[in-house]
Amino acid sequence: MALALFMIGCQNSDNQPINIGILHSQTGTMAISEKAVIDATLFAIEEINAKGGVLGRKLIPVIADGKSDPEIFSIQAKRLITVDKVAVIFGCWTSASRKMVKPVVEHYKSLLFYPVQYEGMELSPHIIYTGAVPNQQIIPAISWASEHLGKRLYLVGSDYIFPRVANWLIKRQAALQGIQIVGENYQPLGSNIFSTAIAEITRLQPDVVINTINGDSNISFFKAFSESSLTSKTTPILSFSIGENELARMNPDKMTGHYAAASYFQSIDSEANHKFVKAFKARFGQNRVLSDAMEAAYIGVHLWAQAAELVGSTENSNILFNLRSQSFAAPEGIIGFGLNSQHTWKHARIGKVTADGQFDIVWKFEKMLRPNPYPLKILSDEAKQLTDVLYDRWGLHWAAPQAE
Amino acid sequence: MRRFIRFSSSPIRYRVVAALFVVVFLSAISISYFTFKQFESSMIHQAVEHMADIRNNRIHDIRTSIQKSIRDNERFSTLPAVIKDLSNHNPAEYSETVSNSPIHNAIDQQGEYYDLHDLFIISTNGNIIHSMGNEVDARTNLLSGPYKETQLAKVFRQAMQMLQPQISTVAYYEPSSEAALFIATPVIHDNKILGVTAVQINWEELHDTLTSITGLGESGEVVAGILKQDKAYLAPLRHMPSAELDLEVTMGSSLAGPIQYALQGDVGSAFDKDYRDIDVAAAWGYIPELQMGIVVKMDTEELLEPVEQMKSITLIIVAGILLIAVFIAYLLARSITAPLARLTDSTLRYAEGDISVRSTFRSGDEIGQLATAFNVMADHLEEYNREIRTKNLALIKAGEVLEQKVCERTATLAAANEEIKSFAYIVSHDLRSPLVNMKGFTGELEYTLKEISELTERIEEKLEQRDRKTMHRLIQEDIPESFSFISTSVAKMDHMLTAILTLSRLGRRELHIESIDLKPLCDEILATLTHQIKQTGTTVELNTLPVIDNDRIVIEQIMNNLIGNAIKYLALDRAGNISINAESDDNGITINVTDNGRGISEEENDKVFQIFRRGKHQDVQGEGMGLAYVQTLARAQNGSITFESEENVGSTFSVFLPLNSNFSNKPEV
Repeated sequence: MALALFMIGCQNSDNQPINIGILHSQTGTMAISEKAVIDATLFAIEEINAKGGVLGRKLIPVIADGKSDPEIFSIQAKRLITVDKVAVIFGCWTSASRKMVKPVVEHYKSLLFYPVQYEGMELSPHIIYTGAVPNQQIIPAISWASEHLGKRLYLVGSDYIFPRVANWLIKRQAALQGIQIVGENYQPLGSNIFSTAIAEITRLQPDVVINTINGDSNISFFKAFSESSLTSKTTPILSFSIGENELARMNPDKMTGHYAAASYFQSIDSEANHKFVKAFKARFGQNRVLSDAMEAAYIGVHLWAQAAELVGSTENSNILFNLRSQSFAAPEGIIGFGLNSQHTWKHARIGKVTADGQFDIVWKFEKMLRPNPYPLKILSDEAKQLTDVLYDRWGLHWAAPQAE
Repeated sequence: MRRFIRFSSSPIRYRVVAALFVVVFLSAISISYFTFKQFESSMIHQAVEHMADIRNNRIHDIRTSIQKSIRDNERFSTLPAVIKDLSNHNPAEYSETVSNSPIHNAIDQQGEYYDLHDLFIISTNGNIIHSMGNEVDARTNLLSGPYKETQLAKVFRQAMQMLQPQISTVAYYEPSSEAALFIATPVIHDNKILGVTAVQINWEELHDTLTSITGLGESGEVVAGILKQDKAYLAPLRHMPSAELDLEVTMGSSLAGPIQYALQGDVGSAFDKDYRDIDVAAAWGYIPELQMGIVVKMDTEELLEPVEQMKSITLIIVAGILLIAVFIAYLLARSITAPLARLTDSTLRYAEGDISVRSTFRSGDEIGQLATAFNVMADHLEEYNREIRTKNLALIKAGEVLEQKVCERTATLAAANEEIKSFAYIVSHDLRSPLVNMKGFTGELEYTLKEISELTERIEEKLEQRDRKTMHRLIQEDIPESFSFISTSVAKMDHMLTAILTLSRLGRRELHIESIDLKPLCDEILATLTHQIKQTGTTVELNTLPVIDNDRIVIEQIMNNLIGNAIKYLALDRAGNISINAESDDNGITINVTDNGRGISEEENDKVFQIFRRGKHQDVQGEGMGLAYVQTLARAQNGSITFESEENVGSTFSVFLPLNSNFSNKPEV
């Protein structure tokens, strides 16, 4: 008997909880998007804890507020790693914040799970990218738009790294597929002045507007759009950074008929997704919605836990190695982990905004797409040159100075 | 409880064996149970982990191999020869005849270098402008030709649309007559899309990578499966003759759980049933490149064979331990009981009198101590015994001395007694003659006095009155009075002498032994005393009176005296009560006569048996010789007379007469 107790004692000797860092903006312009991602991350953690945690250890979330400021993200990342001793960080939304956190996690050999679709051109051994890269979102979406909406594109975006690189790529793609870019407009993150852009769009009459505006600037943009003579019928907008959460903050009337590209929409009709949505709403409220980044964050936590459980350790190098054979029955469908790319195999979908603030999935690529952070045969040197130029132009920042 | 008592009184060796057996049995069983459980869970854990490891490796191998093909194809898509070939392609001039241009030869060389099954160069409008394998698909159009529904056509279109490499699923490819998959990559040059290069990978090659059953024992295998609609198509790689993906399993069915999990994108490991409905330990995973689920599995039976072996080994070990335990217990018990048995044997021999016995058992343990204690005790007892014997010898010696003294004294006493007896006889006998003379001569003197008196009567008148009166008083009164005193004394003396003579004769009388029934004897005596008994209202109780062998006269004398005395000395104030009984035992007979008479006062005790002594009660007639006679008679037979008495309460006189063995000792004369 004593022997049995002793053995049980041994098994439970190392069951201290594991600190898990969650690093997102709870305040500032990105809070509208990021607060929901925090909930999705917590939701996954709670699911895992409900099943006994990882390796018999409970996960303790430590939430840090990046305050929509890349510098603060960097500071908070350092604090989470050195003070809170977190095993892993789930966080960041904007590429600007990720680019600031990247050197920190690399320096401390920590691990960041990044849940947002982004511009690619990056491959940090200490970041796991669970959001889509351009070849999984932008390129299929532009291909689809050129086929279904027209070949004259107008590009509007926030003035920071993601829209700039995305649009640079779109221009490359346009050349290959005979697409015409009729105009381009960038506004600083948090800006609510889109009169120039709307005026240009009205004047140029593109077939489709490609929107890479991030955060609550979208509210101003769509407001301005709807207040103009433009409609979703004549000039549909295809957004890359708008999901269900952003929709919920906007007037659905102004959004109906526009499009968004994402791997995940809450409206996906699958058993796994129904279960996911139902459980999330039961936990956080029936009026809550789920979005692509939230699903990617949820995937990230589960992938990490799955790898840690399989490898029997929360050691980052072990987890990274083990992730190579991981797949996951995600709400968006099966996803896999890229063999040597730190990215995930994802699905590509186009959703059309419905009156109830959801997306009607109008197109889906039939299988998941292999992640390729350097698509269209772009060389990493070329990409680096582009991003370096931008970085220098913004005064050694990853975003243009914000509007006052 | 009773059982326990019965157990605790059973031999030590059984108890030791039983106790050790129980203790060892329980501990062996519990320890081996825990060890076995530990082993079993570790084996199960290991088995599952082993499956998971192989699964990880297989997935990694396949993915790496496909990744390599993707890279190879990418390299082809950037080959100047390919770019040149595609750039030169003019759809208008395109014919379905095979051209054997030097460019193609160069490309084929590369393809062979990369060991590709087939390599395709496809123009943007779907013309296969070159196929290294040159199968029937060569120079057909993938958008409009006969193979537009193939996986090759599909990945071509996808690569063109997605502008990125595309991998097809595994499917039967008609031109090659086998299952194959394709990887297509767009050829992008100078901001233009020129076409697509595609490589063909035969399923068999991948299948070879998967088929490896290294580390999967006898029953292990890798199962690959793909999902089409709601059905899984499996290629079991070992237990089925065909490597085609042609084993159909409906998703949601109870069979082949692991592959179903795998096809849902799950990664895991567990014990489950496989497609053959056999229990297996399985690890499953998903290969995104092939949209393929794989299951690495081994039959539970084989995996847990060591557990089964362990089970039997454990049982054998437990049985062995028990046997050894019983054997040790037996030895242990014997090491305790054997010395005890030896010691018991020694003790018994000692008890039977062999006091020289010593335990030869030597040991420092408790039994050794007991043996030593036994020896010490035996030593002490022997010494003690020797002392007693020495003392006994001394006593015997002293006894002998005493005996001799007693003999001497007895002889002396006998002599003295004899002297007294002869003295008594002489006195009584010899004193009689002078007494007879005194009696005779006294009569002579009386006669003479009568003559003198007659004479004096005649002369009386002659005398003066005063003289006559004196003379008359002297002759008629004083002298006869003296004569009367002398006669009385002589008669008394004669009586006494007769008594002494009788007494001395009694002591020397020769006994005539006969069988005497005491009861009628006593009755006769009582009959002679009827008068007195009636007078005094006495009740006489005759108790058990046996038949004895003795001299009738002696017994009559004794009983006469005792009963007579009892009646003589009854108390006047109460009814007499006399009880006579006799007890005979091995030594002789004791006759008791008890009365409730006057009793004997303490100061008279010493004088009871003296001759001529009588109690202080002068109203009772007697010569004071009765008890003296009884004593003499009893002693003449080496017997005795004793009494217990209390004044005014009563007396018990007890005569003890030894058995007639003593009669051989004739009373000395």
